[in-house]
Amino acid sequence: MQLPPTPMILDELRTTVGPSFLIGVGVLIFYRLVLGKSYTPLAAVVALVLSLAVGNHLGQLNPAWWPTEKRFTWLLWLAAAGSLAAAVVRSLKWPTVGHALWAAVAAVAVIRVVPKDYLTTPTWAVPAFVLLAAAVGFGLMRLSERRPGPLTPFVMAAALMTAGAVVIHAHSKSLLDVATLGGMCLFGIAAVVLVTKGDAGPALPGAAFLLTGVLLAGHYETFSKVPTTAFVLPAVAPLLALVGLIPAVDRQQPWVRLVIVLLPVLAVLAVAGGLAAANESLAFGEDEY
Amino acid sequence: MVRWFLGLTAAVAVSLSATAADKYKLDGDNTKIEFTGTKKDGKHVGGFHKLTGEVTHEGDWKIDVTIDTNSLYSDDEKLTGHLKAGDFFGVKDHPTATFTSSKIEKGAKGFTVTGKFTLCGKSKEISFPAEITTGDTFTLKSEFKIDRTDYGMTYGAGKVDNEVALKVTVSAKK
Repeated sequence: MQLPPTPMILDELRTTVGPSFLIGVGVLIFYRLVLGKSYTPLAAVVALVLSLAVGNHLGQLNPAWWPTEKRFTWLLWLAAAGSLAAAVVRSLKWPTVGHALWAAVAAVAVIRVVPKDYLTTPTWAVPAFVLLAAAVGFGLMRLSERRPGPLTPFVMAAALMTAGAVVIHAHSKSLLDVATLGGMCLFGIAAVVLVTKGDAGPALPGAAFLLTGVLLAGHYETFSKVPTTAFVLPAVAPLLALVGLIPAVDRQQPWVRLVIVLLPVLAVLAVAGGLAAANESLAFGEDEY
Repeated sequence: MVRWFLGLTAAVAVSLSATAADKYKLDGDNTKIEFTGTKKDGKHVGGFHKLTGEVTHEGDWKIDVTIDTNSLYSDDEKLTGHLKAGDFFGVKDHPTATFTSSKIEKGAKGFTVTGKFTLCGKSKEISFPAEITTGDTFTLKSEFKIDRTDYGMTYGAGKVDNEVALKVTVSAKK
């Protein structure tokens, strides 16, 4: 397996991987100790938003902060806004307002993230983008509400990190950084709720914009040999976890439920990462940064 | 009648002088646009294979160039893919870059070309020094620098230098 240049790895650890994970862990522990377990949903949203902001600053992803014409700069804001909308649904118990806010964020995502070429052809691209983000985000949030714990943030984190692996093979470093910020923060959140058994679900509808947006933008912008399938699989893989909502699966022993829900997701993600690695090298032509 | 004839003669003369204006067609064979990007411990060179444009002289000299950004090349195939992607040129969103001169002035040390350069959808007025000769062949040689962040290329801030050196060479026949 080929690894990126060492300076790039160290830089990622310093600017995106490390800070995002630590923010996920730190914010969740802080909220748990100061406010209690019932604030875990809000803590997850705060952690994700903070992670994106700090990562943007440390990694100098968008020095101007305000979104530019680059799609990834919009994804950072859309993920934060999508999570806040989900917090309105879950924490404030205003589902109509929260869903309307999320829909407004999705509309902005269609305008600013979906490439103009895809707005008309193929005709299913825009509905697929929005429906997939909604199904993944709110589906996992529902699963997290029913079975609080690390499963759902872990699934989304694994999907985001795989998306990052796919887009880095497609030579899009900025999109890798965006996916990593969300993925590592959710890994941090999952690590804490593994112990506290809290519900981190509201962070997921925002993270779903990161997942679908990174893969869509990566697919459109790339000049690599990474096949389309490698971009599609990480976006749809989290849907497999929704079998956990089926009563027959829900009634199973915890470890059986874990295997049924998690294994298919990880298998599909592994195929996606393998396809990207098999078809394109990681070399950027830049020996070091 | 005489007045009508003189008017017609003048119109024909004006028309002939306009069609006789100097015009040089530019393409990827007679015009080279190359760039050098630098970082702390190295550099990479590249350029564009395809472009179209023309240099005209109708009273004032004017240069119009449209670069096909998808024809970008570099000294490394993988780097070419990265440069074409959204981190840098975003070629699929911005398939062309353009330059339209607004002023070409002769000074003591050569010419100064001023005009609007549009790259990655962002336009900025730039001025650069140039050596220009005219006649049957129009030649231009220029080396200058632009700040890539002026055009939204903020990727790799602090690792890849913001200033990019450009080298333009033209040798176009009438």
